[in-house]
Amino acid sequence: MNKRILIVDDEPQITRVLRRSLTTHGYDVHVAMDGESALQTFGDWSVDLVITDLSMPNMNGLKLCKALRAISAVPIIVLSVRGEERTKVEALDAGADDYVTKPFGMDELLARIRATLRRAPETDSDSATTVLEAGDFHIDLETRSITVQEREVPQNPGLAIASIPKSSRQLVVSSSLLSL
Amino acid sequence: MKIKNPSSLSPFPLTPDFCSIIFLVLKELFEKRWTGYALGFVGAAAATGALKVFGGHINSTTVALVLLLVVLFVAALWGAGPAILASLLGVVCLNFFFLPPIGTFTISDPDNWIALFAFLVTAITAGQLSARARRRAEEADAGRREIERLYHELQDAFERSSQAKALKQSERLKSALLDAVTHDLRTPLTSIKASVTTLLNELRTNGRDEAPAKLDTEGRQEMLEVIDEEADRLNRFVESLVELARIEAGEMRLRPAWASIEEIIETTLKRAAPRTREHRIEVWFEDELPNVRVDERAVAEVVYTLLDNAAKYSQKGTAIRVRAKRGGNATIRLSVEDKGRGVPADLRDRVFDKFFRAIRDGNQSASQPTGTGMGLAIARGIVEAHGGRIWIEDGSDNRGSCFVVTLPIGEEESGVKGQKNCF
Repeated sequence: MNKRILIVDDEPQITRVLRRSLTTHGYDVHVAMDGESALQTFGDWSVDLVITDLSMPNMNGLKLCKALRAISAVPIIVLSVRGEERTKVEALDAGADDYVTKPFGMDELLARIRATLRRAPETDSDSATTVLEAGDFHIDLETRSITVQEREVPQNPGLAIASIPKSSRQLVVSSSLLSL
Repeated sequence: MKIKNPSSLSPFPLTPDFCSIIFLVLKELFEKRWTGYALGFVGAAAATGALKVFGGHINSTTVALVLLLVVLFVAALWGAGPAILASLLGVVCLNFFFLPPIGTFTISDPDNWIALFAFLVTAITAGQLSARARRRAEEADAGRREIERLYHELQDAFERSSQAKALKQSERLKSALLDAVTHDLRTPLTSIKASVTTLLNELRTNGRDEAPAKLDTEGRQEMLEVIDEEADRLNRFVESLVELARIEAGEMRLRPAWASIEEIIETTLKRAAPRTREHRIEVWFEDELPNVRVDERAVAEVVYTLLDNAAKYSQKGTAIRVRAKRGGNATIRLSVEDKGRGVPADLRDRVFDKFFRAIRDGNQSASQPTGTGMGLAIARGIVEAHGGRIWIEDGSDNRGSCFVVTLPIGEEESGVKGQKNCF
């Protein structure tokens, strides 16, 4: 199964080249023009890696890194024209796994993508964590059952357990849980 | 004073050194208050003595006037105290030496009592007045010096603060320039480098007879297109920088000639067609517009920038309205209006600053690509070099923005549009 990469950049020419190049190298690619739409795509599509620019309208790269880190451990590579140490440190502290300065050679970016994906824990649904635990709560993603203090919660229309994704990495928008 | 040879000292050593010392001592004495008293005393005594010796049968009124003069003199130079002393001494001398019976402190004629009293009052009053005048003059002088000092201090402070301001501004400009250069030069370079390395990568894998990543013809075409377009973009950026630098240095070479504003707009609309293709262009010209004396190429650039901006910052399919009509004070007013999100009132001046981009810098949210931040700065430079103005108004129905340019028609309103057709 192809790895899925979400590219976030407001420069259409850059996303054009990256999309074409990464697709050619066997990745599935989605593109977002800013942080907000990136978060939306991230919720709709199971992503293995996020590549993001820093300077963007709406939600910049730093804020996107923080927002992603709050909900996921997905690997993030930052691409930026800014090469100062301070900016790099900020980005890495905000949750980025790697930082590539623009302009870059495609070979280098591809190697960094491979390295980052290698380091990242397996995210495929067959090997991913299927049980989530938080205090007394115990959610089994495989059987889609919820137990609280070892007592199973009966399925009812108010809680849309069926909409819980199979992968723990996938973002679930809270409103979608309660919408049924 | 250094004495090299004591034997050379004469009994009256009036060397320049000695004179200057005397002068300094006199000056010092002159300025001291007790010297005033002493000289007031000496002055009155000397005047009396001189009058007694040389005056012969001098009138006592003349004596009184001369003594009064001495009192005034002393008051003007040393103030009220010495003047009073001189007055009292004057009264004593007048009485003793000049009023009969002479040589005694008694006065036989009651008239002379009155004269003596009048002299005393006059001398003291005159002394007080002149001393006060002197004090006033001194105070005024001190006040003037204080004002001068404050003025210089203020001037220094202003100078320092404006220097600091200029420094701050130039720092800000420098960092804006740096940001613009890093972003606007490196972004196209990034696309170019990524495209080129993708193509090179493919060549290398071909050489190794392994083809895990093979671009199709369309992909290769796309990479080359990106390289071509981004190289053009870099070139445009450099051209804009040069143009802006020229405007700022006041070296913009305008070649004004009589031109029809309608023709300039029509030609520019054609040139901008690839940019505005997805918008509805509405053009309106007032009848009988006069020709204007402008640099045709430069004004066309302004119109192009406004059209490009309108297309860039408004939805596809919306209208872009271009109008030209006569304005006040012998001007032509042209406007380009879009139905985009508009420019907030507080940013309307700043969008004409160089490297300012409302979307990136003004935190306006949008996902359209931003420009170089130089187009409007150049447009303003061109318009102002023509003696015109450029500003932003609300679009009609309070939607979008309307960029307005006024250009002076020119010195002689010779080229009325109709003339062209009057063969």
